[in-house]
Amino acid sequence: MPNNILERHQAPALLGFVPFEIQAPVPLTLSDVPVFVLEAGEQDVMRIDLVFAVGSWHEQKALVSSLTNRILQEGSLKSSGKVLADYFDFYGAHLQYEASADRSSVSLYCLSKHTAELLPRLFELVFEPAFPEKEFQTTIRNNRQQLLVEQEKVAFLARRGFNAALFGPEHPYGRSSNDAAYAALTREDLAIFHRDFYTKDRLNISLSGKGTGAAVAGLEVLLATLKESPLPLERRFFTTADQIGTVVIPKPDAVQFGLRLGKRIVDKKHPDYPGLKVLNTVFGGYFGSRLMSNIREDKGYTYGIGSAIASFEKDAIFTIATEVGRDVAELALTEIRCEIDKIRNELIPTAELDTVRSYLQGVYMSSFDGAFSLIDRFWDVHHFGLDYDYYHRYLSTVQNITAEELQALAVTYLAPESLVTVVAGS
Amino acid sequence: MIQFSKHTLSNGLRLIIHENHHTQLAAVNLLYDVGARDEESDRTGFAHLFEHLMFGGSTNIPNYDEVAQQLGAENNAFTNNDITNYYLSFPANNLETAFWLESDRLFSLDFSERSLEVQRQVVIEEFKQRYLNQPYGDVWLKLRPLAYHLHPYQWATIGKNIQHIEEASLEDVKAFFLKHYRPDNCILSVAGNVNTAEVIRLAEKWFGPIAAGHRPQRQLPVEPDQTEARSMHVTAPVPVDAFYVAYPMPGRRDAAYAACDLLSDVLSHGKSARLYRSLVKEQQLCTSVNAYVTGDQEPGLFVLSGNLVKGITHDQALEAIQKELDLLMTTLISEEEMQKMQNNIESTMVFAETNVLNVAMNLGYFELLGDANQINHEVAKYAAITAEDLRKQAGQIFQVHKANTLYYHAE
Repeated sequence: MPNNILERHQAPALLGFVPFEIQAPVPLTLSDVPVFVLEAGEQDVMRIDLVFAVGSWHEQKALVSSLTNRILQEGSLKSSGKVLADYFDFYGAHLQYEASADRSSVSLYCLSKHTAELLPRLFELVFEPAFPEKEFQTTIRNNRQQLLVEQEKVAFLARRGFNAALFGPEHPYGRSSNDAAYAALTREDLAIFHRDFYTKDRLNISLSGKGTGAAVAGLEVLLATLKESPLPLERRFFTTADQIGTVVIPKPDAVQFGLRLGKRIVDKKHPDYPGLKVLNTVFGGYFGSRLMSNIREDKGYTYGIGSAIASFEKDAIFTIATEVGRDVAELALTEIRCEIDKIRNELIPTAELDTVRSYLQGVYMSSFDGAFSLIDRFWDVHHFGLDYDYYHRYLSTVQNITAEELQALAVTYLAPESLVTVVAGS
Repeated sequence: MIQFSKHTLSNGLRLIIHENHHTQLAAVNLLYDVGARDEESDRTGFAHLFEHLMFGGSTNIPNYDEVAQQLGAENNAFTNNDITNYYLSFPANNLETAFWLESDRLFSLDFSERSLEVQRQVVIEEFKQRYLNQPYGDVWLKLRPLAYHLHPYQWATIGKNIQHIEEASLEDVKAFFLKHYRPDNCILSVAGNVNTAEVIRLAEKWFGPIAAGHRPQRQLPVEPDQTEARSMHVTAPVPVDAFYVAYPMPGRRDAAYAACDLLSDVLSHGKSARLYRSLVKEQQLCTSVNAYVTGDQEPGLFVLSGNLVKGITHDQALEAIQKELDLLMTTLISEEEMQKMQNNIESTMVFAETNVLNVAMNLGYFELLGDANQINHEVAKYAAITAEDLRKQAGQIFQVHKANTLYYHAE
């Protein structure tokens, strides 16, 4: 076929977004525990999430919440850590541990056919931990050594300094691991935290994948044995730091600097949040964003730069992050500030906004692909006390928000004098 | 079992299609059979730099990224020592746009001095960010030339040094493109909510008219058998000591590869694995320890590495590693441990099928290895391996005179 037949300059017509129904999990209550069941997918795989509404907000000493989560796997009252590890590994299963300021979870990924064997072991691991002293000491020592390695990375130093600048180093959202906090921990801290908070009344569960029906039956038996907490769940009150100006974190031998700029911003429940997600995408939230186009693709100052809006349960942050050669760090900062001025002072051109609308609609569709993505999207709203209406509002915002509305958001939320700048490396 | 069909266009382009109507997405993957191993030893880092330039626009599509974004695609690429791989995943109703995008840059990439200039700088910053400004970031820059003296695996994909990237010229770029970026050097795999006949039609329409090249015949130097142990000491501003030991092992197409892969699982897959239990938990010599195979097409490396607990010497840790290797060479692995490895392979393969982009990538990669359908025989292939096979294979690999040891010392 000769080339002249094909009109390569003629782009194929782009078809618009095809609306679809979001599959929501079926809510059940088993022994007073909310259980969300999402039967989906073609492969015989399963994920089980045990999610506790407890995190560093509820700890009396820094790191207690995350270490409690991490050391669950080191042994139960019935089995050593080795026996537990052998058991899950034997079935080709995988455990994932997460502990944040707002919540703590353990997730099991396995082939559906092994769920019945693995569920009781999962409950043993999560609800009957022994916190053995030796394993506790080993974990603390290894974490302290790993922390020394992390502290050699400018990205880590910048992130730690940034969170502390916004919230203060004691605040649950501003805290990060430090050596003194590790040194102050005892195994009893973890055992008490577990006793008080890894309890039935703090627990939510989800099952997602194929063959969830059989797992529900097994779950019901196990849940009947769990206890309620003796304590009310309290968050301590913290004030935020809201530092502005520039924070410099020294690291004299650094080849590149780690940069972070940003501020506290409205959270996911606020009506402006979906619009801010769109604004952020234009500014620094995708490969074609203004930060990437200018600072990487035009100037070549960095391998990557981006911005993000992330919501916690009680707060949210806007962050610009990059690593840049030390010789161009000042130039990169100047360009970042120019981009902030530009997005506040000029309307986003229609073509650019249309590209962002298309991009975000594609990403939106992809984000609901498969059983595990579907359950992630459920938790993403459920944790905030929101429902699927959030997604409808978000999609409608992506499709309809105007350049004028976006500029107004930029003016309101992205005032340069409200941002803190953290430079790690100089 | 992954169902697919396979087709070859008249210009030599290989096409693999997997239909999955349970998703609304499609994934398009293009594997070009060119990697850092195809570079000249005095112009390294080129395949990877070129990957960056592939996003610099083509004759009919001045801005690749913009169109990819209008498509709503998540897209990227990676280069390793063997291949350069480009991929997109997007709502399936716009499949044709992906074909337009990918065929246009293969048909007529736009070579611009400006794009080269900027991407040189970007790659130099990538070099700094990933290799120079991270603790232990330069390990592979040191370990490769220790383990390989002749074969091009002696340099990392990013290149031997920043100078090679700085010196790349537009002529080099054009020559590289014309030599390696031809339809007969490409495997196109498409997976997701697509129709096979329609995919074939689009492939014929957009890729069919692109002229075949002369598929480069690889004549890489063969690494001579290693006859004595090698070692190297590095001192750097890192907080703790570490070690890296690399043994030569067979390439990905070799019948013995799967056994090597299983040996690395025995040593290091999961919290129940031998090295973690022994060196981290029981003997408390290391804070972390790892064993893995590089998985290269040509003879690769079996790597053991670890970070030492403060106060422990390299010799103490390496002696403990040697004991574990001796055990593999002398004592048969128990039936239960063999079954564990087998279950793990099965689980890994099933989980990989849950994502159409993974499926497209894997089909392309197995086709490069010789036959996409091998993906459906992997579980059986691993199941056929016996404990005795593993003992023998361990004896082949872990010979004292074949070790390449990098001692990484904290300043």
